[in-house]
Amino acid sequence: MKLRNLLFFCGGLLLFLSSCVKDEAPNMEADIIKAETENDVFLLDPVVSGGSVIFYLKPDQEETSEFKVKFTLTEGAQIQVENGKVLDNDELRVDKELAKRMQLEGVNVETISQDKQYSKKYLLKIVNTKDGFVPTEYGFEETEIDNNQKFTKFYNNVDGQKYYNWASGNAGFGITLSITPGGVMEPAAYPTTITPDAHAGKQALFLETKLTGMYGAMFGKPIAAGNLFIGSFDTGPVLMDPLAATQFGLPFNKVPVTLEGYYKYRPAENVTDKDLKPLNLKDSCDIYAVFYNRKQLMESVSDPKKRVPYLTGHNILTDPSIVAIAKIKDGSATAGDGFVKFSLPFEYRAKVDMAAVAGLDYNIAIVMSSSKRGDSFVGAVGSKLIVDDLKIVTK
Amino acid sequence: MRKINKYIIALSAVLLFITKGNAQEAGDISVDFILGGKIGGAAPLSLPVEIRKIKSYNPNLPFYVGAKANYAIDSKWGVAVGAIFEGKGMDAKARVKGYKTTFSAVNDSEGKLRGYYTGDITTKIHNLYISVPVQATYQVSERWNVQAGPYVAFAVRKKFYGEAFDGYLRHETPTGDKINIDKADYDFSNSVRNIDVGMSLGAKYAINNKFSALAQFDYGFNNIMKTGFESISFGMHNIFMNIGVGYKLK
Repeated sequence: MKLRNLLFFCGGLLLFLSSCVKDEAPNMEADIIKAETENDVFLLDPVVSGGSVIFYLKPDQEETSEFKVKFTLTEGAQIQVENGKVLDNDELRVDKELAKRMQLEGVNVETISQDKQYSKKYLLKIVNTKDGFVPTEYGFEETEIDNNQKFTKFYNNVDGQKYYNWASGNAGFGITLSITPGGVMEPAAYPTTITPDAHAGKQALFLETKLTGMYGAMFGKPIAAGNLFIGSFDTGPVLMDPLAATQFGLPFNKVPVTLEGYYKYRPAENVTDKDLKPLNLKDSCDIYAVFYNRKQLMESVSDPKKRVPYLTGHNILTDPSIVAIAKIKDGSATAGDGFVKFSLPFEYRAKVDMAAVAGLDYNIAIVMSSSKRGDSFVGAVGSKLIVDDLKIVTK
Repeated sequence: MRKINKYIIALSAVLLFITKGNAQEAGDISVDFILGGKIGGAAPLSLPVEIRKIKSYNPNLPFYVGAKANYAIDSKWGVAVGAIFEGKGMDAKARVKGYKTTFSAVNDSEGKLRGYYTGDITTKIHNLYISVPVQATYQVSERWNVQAGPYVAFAVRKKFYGEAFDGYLRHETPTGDKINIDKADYDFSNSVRNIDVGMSLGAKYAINNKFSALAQFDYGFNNIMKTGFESISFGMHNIFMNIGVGYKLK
């Protein structure tokens, strides 16, 4: 043995130890990424959001008979219907009976990951839009508690059916509660919830700006304003691009004139910025509604893959598709202890195509926040906004 | 590795002009000052399936320095005991998929964002140890001596941290909420074990009666992370190849 042998010995040993990258394991995720249907009775491509896939019928369609849905799933995942039957080619053939059930109570399907260890439930629901499904009056009496994260969810009852028209940042705040020591997931812990202090009925909407604790320390998002809006909330961009997490607006088949309601606002004293440094500002609330041409919004994007049927925090007040905005001018504290009425006229900046409104080509978004600049993490922890008996007065 | 080889060859060439044997007699006690470099890392025994691609790897603190005493039992066998100050570290960058982990703001704070992460991840391990090897030695020939035996290493500095970027986390479960991550830090330093126990296998080549060339392979038996640490789903072991020189003090 010579010195060279020693070096060969070392080299060989290292080669023996340096193992190669293994073959990829089967996927653990099981998402419905996209759902498509060729039937032209639908207004939009099916909307996949959270745990549901919603099929919006065109307003002139009472019901649908037979159609096919083609799902795009996480690679390798499968989808099965109620009886446990796995769908061939991820394609669901909806017959008349199934369509009826999808329209009435919804039908559950379950995705199963490629490794068969994880699954996720989705509710398939056909939504009839003949009379619109975004109502014009809201007493905030229709709420339920989310199964997993225990926050308050707001819905609307229209013709005996539940429509989850409202969304909030609560799903994002749930992440905060899950990582904060002593964080308890209960409805009152969230920035968006209800209060018995109502103008009428049993309860009113209650929004409060809260500290995000650990989450804030980690990601430079120290506060969360209570918010509620028509649309949906996507947790995906919540850390990187929170403005994109709020997807504002749903189809609306009337022409709005004013946004009315009752509110109480108690701003807290200490307004802070995204680093929790004090700012010499007074906190104010925000209440506004935006009426926009969804078809125009979608057509303005040349890449069909990037087309979305909603506005986000980036363009909610600026997009060229906006037709009218009704917005509170002075969001400062309300006088006295009682509710104060507001009546905000929709200020039109473009012509409205009545036929297109009837065809549900327009969307409406209503947005409320306990701290107006909450989207850039400026606000006072403890600012409280109560809203009740909201109404869109239409033509 | 190639650099270290060159270094050793050059060093050997300089030293080779004096050559003298190194016979061992019962009762002899010799003490060597030893110094060298190493390559290796805190690595799983085989790459776990969560790691899809190693994008970069660099040793960190790849040194050892210390002294080793050898007691000759007879002309062949002996017992060696040492005290060695060494770094066991690495900087690695990898692409991972479905990697069960935890992000925390500050070192081992209670507030943690848990889930399954897919994306890029850097791992920086900069641990310093004082190691005590106890080895049986065997004189194979006039110049060659081989050693094998356990070691106990005491961590004097523990650093294990890194960041995740360009990826997403599935909150809690692989089907949980998807959260895009542009950059999130983690720090597991406090979860590094204080003691690393392992086995060494080495060889020594006497260049002359003072200098020797050394090679030693160290393998840590225990996971370098404390029991109960769940933020990484696979165990990591200190696995290092050491190459150096010895100088006979006595």
